[in-house]
Amino acid sequence: MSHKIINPSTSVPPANAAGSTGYDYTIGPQQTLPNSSAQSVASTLAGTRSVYHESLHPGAHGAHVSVAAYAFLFQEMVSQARNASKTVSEIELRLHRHGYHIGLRLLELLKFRSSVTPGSGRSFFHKSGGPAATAGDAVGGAGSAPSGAGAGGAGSIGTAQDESLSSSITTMKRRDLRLLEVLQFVHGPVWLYLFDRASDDLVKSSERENEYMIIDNTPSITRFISSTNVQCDFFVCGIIEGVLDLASFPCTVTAHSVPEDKFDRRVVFVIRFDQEVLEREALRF
Amino acid sequence: MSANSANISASSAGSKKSLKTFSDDIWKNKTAKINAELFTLTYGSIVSQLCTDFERDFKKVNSHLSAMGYNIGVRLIEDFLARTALPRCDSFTQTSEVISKCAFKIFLNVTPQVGNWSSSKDTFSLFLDENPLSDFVELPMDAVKELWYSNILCGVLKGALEMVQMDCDVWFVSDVLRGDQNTEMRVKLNRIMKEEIPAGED
Repeated sequence: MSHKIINPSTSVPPANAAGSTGYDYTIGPQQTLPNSSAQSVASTLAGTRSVYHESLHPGAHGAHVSVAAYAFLFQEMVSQARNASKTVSEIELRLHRHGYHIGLRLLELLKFRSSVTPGSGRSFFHKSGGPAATAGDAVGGAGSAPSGAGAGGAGSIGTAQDESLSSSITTMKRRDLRLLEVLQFVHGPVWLYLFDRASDDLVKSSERENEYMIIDNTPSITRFISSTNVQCDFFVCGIIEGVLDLASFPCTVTAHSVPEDKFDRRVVFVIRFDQEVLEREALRF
Repeated sequence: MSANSANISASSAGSKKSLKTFSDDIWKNKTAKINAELFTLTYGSIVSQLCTDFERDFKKVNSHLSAMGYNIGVRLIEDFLARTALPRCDSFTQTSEVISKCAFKIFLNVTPQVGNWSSSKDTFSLFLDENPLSDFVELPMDAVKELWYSNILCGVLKGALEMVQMDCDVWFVSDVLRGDQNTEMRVKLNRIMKEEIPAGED
């Protein structure tokens, strides 16, 4: 099953975009897609460098930072949440909310990236040396395109200006519609993306119909947190819930520390789907 | 211990190149890594939460980010010294090299350019060609003039340098997110603090 690409509609003409930078949240999304061949938009972007130019490309993923740096940041996030809250559940709610917003973005990002035909438009993405080079890239940078057009089956658009990510996508990947598919998606690709490995297990609860569990024996991001008073894995719960919510599988996710023989930090993420999800599952197909 | 530090000082005194090789080696072989985009997204979520909490008062957000960074910095220096076992720097120039080639490299896997030294050699700039904090980021219209998105880095540097007896001011001069040509951080050495014994200890 395949779907045509639908570009986000633009209700506002990007006329005022020329003199301004940034996202105007009072107006809403404006078209600054990687495929915007419109000269005016391209020239605006040339000066500022659009976030879409490099970061959406599958090749962009792969960069790493040290776990230490992440742990420090995470620790500050937790203490920030702690200072702003009165109760433990409020802290967890805040962490959850942080994760939720990430989850919403992840679903879009991962699905988009997996839709790009592998190998095509490779040359489009390359880390540029300096700021000057970056600015040049946005306009003329597509000049290195011919190799990309040759490599890709889909991205066969000849002119350098049109070389962009969307030209290397023929069909968007189908979204997961069944409950098990979407759970597999979380268990596999999402975990792989976040922690460089799939989660350790995906289990269905034997007691309740709507309950599933994702198990992580060695949670990466909370490994330096010794306190068990606050369950910091609620951040990951938020991510899971964000992904599932946006995929139209409303649910609540909670984290429970369930140590086992060898894994004393083992965490079980319990996913409880809303009743409507089960009803829909039973209806279709 | 002495052999170790002699070895290091030989390598760092030798040339700039060896400091780079030294940090590359630490990054490649001795550092646990995590997806940089998770880092980016987490930071983004922190900043946006702060903007909401402070009702879009970006001056407060800036100073809060810097304070968060300071908290990180005072701890991070410990981690840094444990990993690198680098000796005390002889000059502020050397400090700048260690910050850009070593510290940024082993934590964030980027190497900012050092430049724009003041004539008195107490102020320099770090040019961040890549900034793992700010991928995916577009600043909203109302924040573009006021918010220093990556301000946490200033706090980190200030905190870390303070722990090695260097009282510094660190601030952002420009940021590509604001539409500037490059992202430039300025580090100014105020004074070298005297080593003091904490109160209550003999």
